[in-house]
Amino acid sequence: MAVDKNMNILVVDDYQTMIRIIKNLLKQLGFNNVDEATDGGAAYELLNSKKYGLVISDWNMEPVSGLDLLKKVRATSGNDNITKVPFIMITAESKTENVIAAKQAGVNNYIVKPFNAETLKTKISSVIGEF
Amino acid sequence: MPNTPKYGRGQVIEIINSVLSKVDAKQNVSRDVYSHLAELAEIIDTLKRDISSAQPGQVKVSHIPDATDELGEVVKATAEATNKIMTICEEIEGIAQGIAPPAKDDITGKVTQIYEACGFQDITGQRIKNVVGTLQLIEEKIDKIMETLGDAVGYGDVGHRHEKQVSVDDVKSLLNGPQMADKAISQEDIDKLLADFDN
Repeated sequence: MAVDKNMNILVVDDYQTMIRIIKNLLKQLGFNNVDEATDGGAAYELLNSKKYGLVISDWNMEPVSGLDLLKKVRATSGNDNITKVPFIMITAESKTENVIAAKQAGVNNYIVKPFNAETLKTKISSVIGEF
Repeated sequence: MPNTPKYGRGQVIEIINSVLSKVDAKQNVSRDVYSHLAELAEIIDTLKRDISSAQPGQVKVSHIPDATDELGEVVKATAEATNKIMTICEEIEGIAQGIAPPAKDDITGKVTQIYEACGFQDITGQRIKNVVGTLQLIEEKIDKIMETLGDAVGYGDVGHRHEKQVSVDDVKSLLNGPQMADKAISQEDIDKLLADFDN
């Protein structure tokens, strides 16, 4: 199935710099409908307000971390748009335990910071399909 | 040990003397033991004085806050610089739209590499956050130790946050690195100061 480049993407990170980097890289990849949130709580509100085709989230945020957001998303009942939204974690947390915990919580892919544009493209493709 | 009573030097020596005199009289304990214990009391006393002279309270009210502020400034400065770099990159990308390939693609590729490199700000920010957390932990540990030692090391009166004394006549004191934004004088102030010399 062809990837809809007009789909909404939600980028969640407590560092504005990182949000800006990811948004710019997504723009280069052809994705222009990108929203942002600075923690899991704000992100979850946005997820309830419209349909997203992809969530790209940091892990280490307060008060609601990326892992908490992921768990909440996957535990949401009655709204498949939220429950099944493709979710990529982009984080500096790079211990094996982190990856396992994220996988167990239902993450679709995991990118370790620092990352490059090619890695971002590859991981997004593996989650939503080639584009 | 929040309820541990605190004793001064004189009291400790008095107690040791008292106990030893009783033990000595009844059991003929070696004078060496007495001598060692007295020496021990002296060492403890010296240690307390050393700790006191090191002004542990200043670690709490000056040194750790100073270090935390400096680290905060590093995060702020790198964030500002990174955002500026990215703004310029976005402008370059805009300009590149008006250029024909392959130059356009080359420029976009280079801009992408700059975006990637800007990720350092996020990583260093997180590392600095960890260091600040460690400093707070050290502060708590010092607090606990000092609460136990109490007034014997002068921790009751921690005083105020020290401003480092700077003097034109003390060259070493003039090396302080970048100043905090609220303490630094502006270029305008410097120009005015220099102009005053010429008048």
